[in-house]
Amino acid sequence: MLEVHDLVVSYDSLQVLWGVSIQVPEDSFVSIIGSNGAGKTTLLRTISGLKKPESGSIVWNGMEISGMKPDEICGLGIIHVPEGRHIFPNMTVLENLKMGAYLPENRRRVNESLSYVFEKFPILAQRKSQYAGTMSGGEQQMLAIARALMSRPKLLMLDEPSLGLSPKMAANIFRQLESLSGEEGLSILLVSQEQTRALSLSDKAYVMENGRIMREAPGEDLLKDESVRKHYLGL
Amino acid sequence: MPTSFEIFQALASGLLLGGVYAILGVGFGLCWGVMKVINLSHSTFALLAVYIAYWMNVSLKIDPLVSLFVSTPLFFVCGIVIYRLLIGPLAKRAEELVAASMVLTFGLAILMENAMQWAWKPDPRVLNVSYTGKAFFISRVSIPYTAVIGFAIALVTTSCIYLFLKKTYLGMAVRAVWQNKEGAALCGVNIDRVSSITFGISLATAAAAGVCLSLIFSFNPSSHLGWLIYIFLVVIFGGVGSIPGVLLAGLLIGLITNISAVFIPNAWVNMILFGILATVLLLRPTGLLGQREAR
Repeated sequence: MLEVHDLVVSYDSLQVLWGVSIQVPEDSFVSIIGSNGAGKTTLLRTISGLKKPESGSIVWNGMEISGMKPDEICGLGIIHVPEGRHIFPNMTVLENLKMGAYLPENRRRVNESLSYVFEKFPILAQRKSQYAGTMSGGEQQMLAIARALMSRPKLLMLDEPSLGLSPKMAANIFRQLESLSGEEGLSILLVSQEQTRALSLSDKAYVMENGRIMREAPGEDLLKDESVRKHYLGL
Repeated sequence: MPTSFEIFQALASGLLLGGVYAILGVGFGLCWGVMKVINLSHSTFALLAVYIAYWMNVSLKIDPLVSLFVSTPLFFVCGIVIYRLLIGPLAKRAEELVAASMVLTFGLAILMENAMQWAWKPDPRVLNVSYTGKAFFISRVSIPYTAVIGFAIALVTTSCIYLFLKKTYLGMAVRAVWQNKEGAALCGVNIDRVSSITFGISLATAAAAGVCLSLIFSFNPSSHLGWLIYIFLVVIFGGVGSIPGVLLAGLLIGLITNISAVFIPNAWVNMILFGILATVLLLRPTGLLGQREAR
């Protein structure tokens, strides 16, 4: 279980997070909604170690992890699928997936993991010797998620997984997330602009505004809430 | 009009020299691609390997090829130490690592040049071994043994690097860091560790190149500056990021310089070389086999 307390993060002199606290319980689906520039991406980047916090704590199963390096955090099973996917364009699909299993424990189970992700994403099995950079945006997003699954995540953090995809492809990605969320021992922390979809999958959701958490409620409650519907869902 | 014999001779020596350019370019390109470090002391390290080969030969009567087994591992360790002490800390602080690394490594090159001048005097030296100046003939074209040995070392080294990058997990991580550093870190790759090993490998190839150079050229403590120009040429021509591209570019540049020297006065050779380079870069800005920069 992940607990973030009073997280403060700045870029140079610009403060982006002002004391953010969230909890992601075991086996849960949590999402964060909010407008552009609210600090959602920064929050995920700080949890995965790409960004160092000024103050506050990030606790994973009782262990303080703020200030650890991304590769160490990856080793704990907190896997971040960043915005823009960050796949390796000049490597084949298979090589990209193998990179997901880079750490020794995961490397030992690489074949097992490969058959698991190929079952989840059959298209990747067909494309396995293709260069990742030549695939469509949707296929690249699937690859990014599949690569993260190769790391055997306990917490999967996804940043805008449907950004820039066709409606059909976006629906496909959300179907995959729904099926993943049912799996034993996997929690999901999702940041998405597709707020209706995100909320309907979420056990719990946070509304973030200007670097602060404004509300915390079960996803269904927020979906019904008048002010959330008006401000975020455009309904 | 040059005879066909002269052209074949130029072809042979061009190809052999090109192999040495390629090996210099491969190590240099690796650093540039993976760490965004332009190591201006790359050829200085090659020159240091030349002097080590020379010194071992003169004072210990050891064949330069044996010195390869001393300088290659030594330089690998050196590379890791230099990364940990200089490049790594610089990479954490510098906003523009390409430029900052050039200043740092240029300083290192000057420091090493002066140390070599102090240790071995500024006079030009030549390494003389039993097979220096000996050649075998294919019809009438003479092929010097030293050039063949140099070419073989170059080929083996570049093949090893290529196989390392393509076939091993660590090599795959090196390519991953090259293509997307953050993506690699999120897969669990320790960027510092991979970078230091890459720098070590790069200097190890400089050592191998140095031994080849010691067999072919005379040298003095400032020879590295001339070689550095060829390194840049080979890497830009071949494409930063492509080992086959750099290999091809090295061979082509060796061929172009040697063959054009048959037809035109030596002073004009570089005009032809840079003319071809400019044309290629106009048509293919990423070099012969270079891949487009990933977004």
